[in-house]
Amino acid sequence: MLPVSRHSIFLLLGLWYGLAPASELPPGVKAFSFDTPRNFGYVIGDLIRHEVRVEAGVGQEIDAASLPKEGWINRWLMLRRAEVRSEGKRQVLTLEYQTFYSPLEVKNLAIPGFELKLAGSDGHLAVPAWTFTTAPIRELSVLRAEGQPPMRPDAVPAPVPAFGPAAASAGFGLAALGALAWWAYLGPWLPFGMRGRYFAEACRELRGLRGQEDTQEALHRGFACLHQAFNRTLGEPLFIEGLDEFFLGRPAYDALRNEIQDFFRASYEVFFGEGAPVPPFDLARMEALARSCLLAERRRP
Amino acid sequence: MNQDNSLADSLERAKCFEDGLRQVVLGQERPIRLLTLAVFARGHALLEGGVGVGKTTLLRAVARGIGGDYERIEGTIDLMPNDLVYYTYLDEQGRPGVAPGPLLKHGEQLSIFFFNEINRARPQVHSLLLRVMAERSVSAFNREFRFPHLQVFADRNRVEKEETFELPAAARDRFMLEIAIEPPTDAAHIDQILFDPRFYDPDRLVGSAPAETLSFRELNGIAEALQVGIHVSVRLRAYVQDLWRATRRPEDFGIALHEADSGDMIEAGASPRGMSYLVRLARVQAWLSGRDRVEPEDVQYVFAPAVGHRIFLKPVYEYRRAELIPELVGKLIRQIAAP
Repeated sequence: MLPVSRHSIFLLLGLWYGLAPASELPPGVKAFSFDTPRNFGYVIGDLIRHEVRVEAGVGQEIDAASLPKEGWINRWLMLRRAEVRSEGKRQVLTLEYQTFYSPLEVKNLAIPGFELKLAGSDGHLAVPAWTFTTAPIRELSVLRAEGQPPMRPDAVPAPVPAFGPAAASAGFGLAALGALAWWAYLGPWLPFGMRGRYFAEACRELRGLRGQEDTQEALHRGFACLHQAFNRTLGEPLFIEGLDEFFLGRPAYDALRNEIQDFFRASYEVFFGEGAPVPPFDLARMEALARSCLLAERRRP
Repeated sequence: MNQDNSLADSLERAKCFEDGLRQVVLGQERPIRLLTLAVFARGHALLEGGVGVGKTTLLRAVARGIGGDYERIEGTIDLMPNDLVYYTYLDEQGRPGVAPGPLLKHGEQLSIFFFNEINRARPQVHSLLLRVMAERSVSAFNREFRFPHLQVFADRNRVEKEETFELPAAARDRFMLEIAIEPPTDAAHIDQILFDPRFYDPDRLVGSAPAETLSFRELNGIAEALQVGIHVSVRLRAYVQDLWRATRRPEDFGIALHEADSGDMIEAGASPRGMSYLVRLARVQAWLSGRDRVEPEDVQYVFAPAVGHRIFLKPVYEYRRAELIPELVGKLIRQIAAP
């Protein structure tokens, strides 16, 4: 690729190309020129700079919509830049092309022409196609047998500094993990631990009561702690008349329906009635119920 | 044992009384049950509802079922306390006379005094009622009249606000229940009320209800017996006390209303009289449900009509009472655990 500074020298040496006779210019255009560099000696990757100079009447600016679009023009030619600037009365359109053609031998190529429109007039200024010669950088085959030095291997790319992005990824990853954990904590999706933890607490408390006889006081404590587990799991107190609704919303407890109903009936008898659980409900049965509820709560969708 | 038998017998008659009311006024199961509770708890009741939902018919049917004398007065803006006590007239010979007014003329036989549109009467009349309701007595003609069997039923329509006087807190507190009556929602009931000629003539409709299924003279005795006979456990007492505390400081029980900071919303919670009414009503409800002990659901059933009108809000919130009180009462019932 040729350095740009050399390019501008070539530009000076360049031909005044396609200078149209004044009679063919559209009305109002006083001068039109197309400046090009030398048209030979290009290799893959070279930049080619064209300049179009237009001197026209007041208000007759180059219509930006008629400029060729920046980007790939064809398979091998790219327009890197197309910009218009003013130089005194003139408008100068600079076009910077880059060729990516890799010829096997010396070859003529052409940059296609286009038409420039001027604002406020119907006239067109034809920028002609431009032909240049391109050549390969080296002979197709370079063989060691011919006494030539072998091609040097490609340079190893310099490592891109990766510490910053790596640290950032680690930081954001940690933050995301934390947020995920918090979200799971808030929601009921954690499979173990959070789900049914109130029943687990009741289980522990009932296990603590295991050694005692089924005295009135132990029964009271047992019933109260299991009630509390129901209330806290539900988020509000569960009364006997709310049981049907409770089962309706939680099919996982269906298998325990009779046991839970017995529990409530017995507990009402203990707390509001004569004091003895009817149907009979002892601490062992309570503990079994708490464990079943714990499992049901974990099974619940 | 004898008492148990008489209570069981009374329960039969109470069910008959309720059934009779259900035939007269359709689709009002809850108000009918609440009125029955008021009758057996010997409390006064205030009915509140729109126009033409059957408040008066219901009360007339209750009066017919209880028996005894029934008196009715319409609240108007120019009604004065004296109008209840006596009236003056000129007799056939043109001599002036003074006769006992609607409140006094039945003497001890008066079992139901029905005050229609109570909020149209002036506060002076309300204050006369305070004593009548609380002590069941009134002083007139230089002596005291007593009404041992008296029950005051009042109704108030909540459609109009012009030319009405809001009941003072003291008067509201003396009503055991404030019962809201909504129009029936069941299509079959509405169909019957609209198209069955039986419902066109209120007099005949009330007349079709069984008369004197209860005897008004026995009611005080039954009420006393069942207050003694129905058991209230220690745990339930604690539950009622929790409810009471929560009416005064709901924030202590973690109860907060949506838009209001309940900490400074409540001017006064339920009164001790109100809570005592609540327990009495809960006992009657347990009895009518065929139980010999009170359970939380009995308390919950009567909580809103017995306590809702006793909670007074700060003036800022009082305008939105109709939305805030049901929400607060609902939360109290749902969020306070019994066992």
